[in-house]
Amino acid sequence: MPELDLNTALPVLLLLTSLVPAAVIFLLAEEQERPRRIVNMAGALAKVALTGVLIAGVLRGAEYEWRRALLPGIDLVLRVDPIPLLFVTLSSLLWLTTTMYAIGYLEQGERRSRFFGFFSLCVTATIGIALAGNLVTFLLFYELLTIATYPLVVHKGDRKALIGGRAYLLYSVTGGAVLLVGIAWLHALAGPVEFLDYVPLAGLVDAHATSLTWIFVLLVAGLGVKTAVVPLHGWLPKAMVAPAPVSSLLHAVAVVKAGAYGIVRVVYDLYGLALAQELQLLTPLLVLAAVTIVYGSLRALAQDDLKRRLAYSTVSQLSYIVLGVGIASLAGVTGGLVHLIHQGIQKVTLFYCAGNLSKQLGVTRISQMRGVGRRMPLTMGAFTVAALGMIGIPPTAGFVTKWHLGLGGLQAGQGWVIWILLLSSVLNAAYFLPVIGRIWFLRPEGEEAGAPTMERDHERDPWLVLPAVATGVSVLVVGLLAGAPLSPLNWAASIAGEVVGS
Amino acid sequence: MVVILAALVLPLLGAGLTAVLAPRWRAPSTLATLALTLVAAIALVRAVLHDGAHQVRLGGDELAIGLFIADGLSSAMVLLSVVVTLHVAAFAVLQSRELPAPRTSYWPLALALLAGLHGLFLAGDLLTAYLMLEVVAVAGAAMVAWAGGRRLLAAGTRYYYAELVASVTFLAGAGLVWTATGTTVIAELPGRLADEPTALVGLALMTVGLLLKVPVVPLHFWLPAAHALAPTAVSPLLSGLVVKSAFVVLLRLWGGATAEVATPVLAQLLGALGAVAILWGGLLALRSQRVKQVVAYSTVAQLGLLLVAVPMVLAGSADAWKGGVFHAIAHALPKAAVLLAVALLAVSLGGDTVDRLEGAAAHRPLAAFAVGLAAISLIGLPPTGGFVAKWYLVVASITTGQWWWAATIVLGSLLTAAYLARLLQRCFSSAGRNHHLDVPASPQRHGIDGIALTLATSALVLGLYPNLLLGLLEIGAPLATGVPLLTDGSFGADAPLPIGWSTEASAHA
Repeated sequence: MPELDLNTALPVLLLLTSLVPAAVIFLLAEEQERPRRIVNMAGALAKVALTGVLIAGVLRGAEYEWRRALLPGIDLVLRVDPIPLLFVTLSSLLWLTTTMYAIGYLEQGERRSRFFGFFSLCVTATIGIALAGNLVTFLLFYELLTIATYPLVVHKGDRKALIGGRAYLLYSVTGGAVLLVGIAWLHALAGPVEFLDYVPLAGLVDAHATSLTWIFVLLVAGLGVKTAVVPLHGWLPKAMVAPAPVSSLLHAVAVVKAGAYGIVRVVYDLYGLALAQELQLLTPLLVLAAVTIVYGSLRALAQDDLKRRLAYSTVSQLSYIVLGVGIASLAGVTGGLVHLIHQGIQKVTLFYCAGNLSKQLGVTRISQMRGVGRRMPLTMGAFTVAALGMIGIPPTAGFVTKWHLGLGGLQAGQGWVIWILLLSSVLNAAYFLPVIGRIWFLRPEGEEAGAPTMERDHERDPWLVLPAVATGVSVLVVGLLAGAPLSPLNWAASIAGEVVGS
Repeated sequence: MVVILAALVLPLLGAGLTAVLAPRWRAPSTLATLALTLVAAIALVRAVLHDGAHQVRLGGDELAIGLFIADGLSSAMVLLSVVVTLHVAAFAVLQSRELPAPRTSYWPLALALLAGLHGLFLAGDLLTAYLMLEVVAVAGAAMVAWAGGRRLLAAGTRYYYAELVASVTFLAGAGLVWTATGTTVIAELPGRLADEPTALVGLALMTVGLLLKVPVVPLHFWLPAAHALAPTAVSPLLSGLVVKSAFVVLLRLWGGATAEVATPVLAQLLGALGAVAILWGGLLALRSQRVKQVVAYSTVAQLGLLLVAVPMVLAGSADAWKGGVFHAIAHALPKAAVLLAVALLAVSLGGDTVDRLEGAAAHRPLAAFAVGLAAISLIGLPPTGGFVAKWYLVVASITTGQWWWAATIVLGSLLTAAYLARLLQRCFSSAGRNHHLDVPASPQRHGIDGIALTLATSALVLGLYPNLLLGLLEIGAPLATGVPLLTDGSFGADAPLPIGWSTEASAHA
């Protein structure tokens, strides 16, 4: 063990800020509500604070790395690189809001000790995935994420939840196994390979081009399961039976994001853009993403259940990230990376709002949403902003993404991408605009004209409303202030400069 | 070497002492013996780590008998078996609060079984191996048969007959090898077998006998009934330890002796038997209605994984050897944990069928957590011991170009995930017949649940700190260095013969 200075300790501390709460919460008795809240919030706040320290340090030029030998020749590595930092920032901020939200949502619920224990474990795994410095470390946390999420998906314990959980487990474990084979194959071929070390793979291109291509296929297939790329998306709509905080975690903070993030790292930090282009791996990825975007949107159109519609929307939106990965140009890379953040804040807002609707009003279907804007104006305001972001209307975050993706497509000579973006935006509008109209411009069912029942009791609980409003506002802020120095866009653009330049 | 003898003699003396003590003193004396044996086992591992492999020979000038070898493999297996037996015995002491207490014959038999296992792991010659196989068979079968009831008697008897046939087959093979080569020391066999048809027949007989004992599909018929019906405090010993003992003998026999006679075809055939076991056992586990039956078929499948390693080991892959042996060790801990935990769940939930598990996670969280944690290792997900084994086996299959084993291993772990998920899914269910149990059980039971949880956790620790064990296993093991034993098409005659342990028998003996 090397001496424990801050630069090696920080990545581990970042893990511990959720691992320790997980352990403590498992040991707390069910009725110890207040200690559990304190531990939860303290962990989440500490994580955000540490992330701030990391960002400040990286801006100063500090390097953070922790490693320990796992097997002979294989290290566990946690390292703070530019792309990991982006993902860590997203997860720790959204974990804070989602923890708040979950505390409010599960008040009086059952089995909260177990729930929050696994909840914290889930975020630990996500941070581990983010900081993983090589594929074996990545796999370790990737599987931990599967394990930690399963009890959350089946939290309700009824038949539907169990079926959803089974689908989730089946897909994820299979994906993990495929990923393992890819990683083992790469290990057998190239020895231990770390992210951002392009030398070992570059040396193999001449002799083993076919093997490298197949390894890429295995890695992307394994990661594609969690990313819910068509045709590996089947589990996501089934898993939406989980409670709303879990859906937020699945769709925005952790699970699907881990898959997309994995693809980003494999292409940018493992193979490198140049090698991926040389092996002609990007165009198939691009086509896959395009098909998923359109297919997800089409399926979303047909859903009446709000959370199901959102789930298919995730399938579609997540592949914007993959689309960005497939576009080998500055703007394209920027668009894909920044959508890691944008999709997260937009989708998390939508799920918070859907959860509030079903918890406070019992509304789960779009057909029941007539006039709910009057009864829950704050929540529905956030919902509207996020939905407009999904469509890509300026000045929301989603617009910034789509603009850069389109621009990137032109730069890379893949002009057809713009048509995909346009088609998808039209479809996004088709499944979100009518909902927005229904929320604001239709009268609530059974309400007489001119007799407004403006009971605002539905938005009394700050634990539920605050997270939704905060993330909803952030959708606007990151769009409006996209030009500011520390905005996600500028951050993504600076990373993109390195990725394209390397 | 004192520590080798201590690891052998302590459990044997303890068994004798426990057998003559009054019933109420039997459990304490068993626990005391196990604690002493644990110390001896730790001393043995330390001795091997510091001084390397060594041996002790008790008797026989012409016909070697009583030759015991302490190397990385045997000392690791000895330590493993003491640890598992100690946990199981502690469980057996505490179980009387909920389950029927074990019969008084249980305690001396458990110690006798442990003595036999130690002898078998350490055995360096064929006759000692045979004797110890008999001790293990008799003690194991008696523990099943004498637990009470006609069904158990029948299962135990069938188990014993299978073991007896296997032992006699092994003995016949050993006799043939002795007449042909003039030695029974396993490490002296290399180089003496190739031109002797009698010796080859003998080797084949011994191999079949051991395959029946492991057991390998299609010779597994006796296992599910015996393991599934065995009492709670017996089945972890059978499923975790006894099945591994024959494997260790197989490993010694093949690793040194058969390098010159095994053809690639034969190696692939053994691997194929393993593949069949993985798939067949997995499918039957998926269809079983009783929890312990699921676990028993799971054992059949997991043992297949050991055989799958063989063709890759013979192709010279050190990774395959590490993976196979690591699996043999890593599998015992979670398997024992599952068997203990499901017994607790069965008694709490009022039945041992899969469907009865509904609501287990809410009712008895510690035991359910132990099942979940053990499942992670059995499936082979990181960071557990099961993952380390799977990783080495998959890497070995790719580096040796025998990719079909990687496919088999992955398919096997998916099947494992499927049948274990069947159990876990029930545990997390809140609906169904057990709804009235949807409250936590009283906390006074946590002690016994903790034993299962400790075993499951140790599988996790093994995965987080695998280096110590991997280093230990390399000591005195020719195969861990990756000498190619089989070259393509040839009988491996050109390959340098692996250096056996005996040639460097140290002065410690």
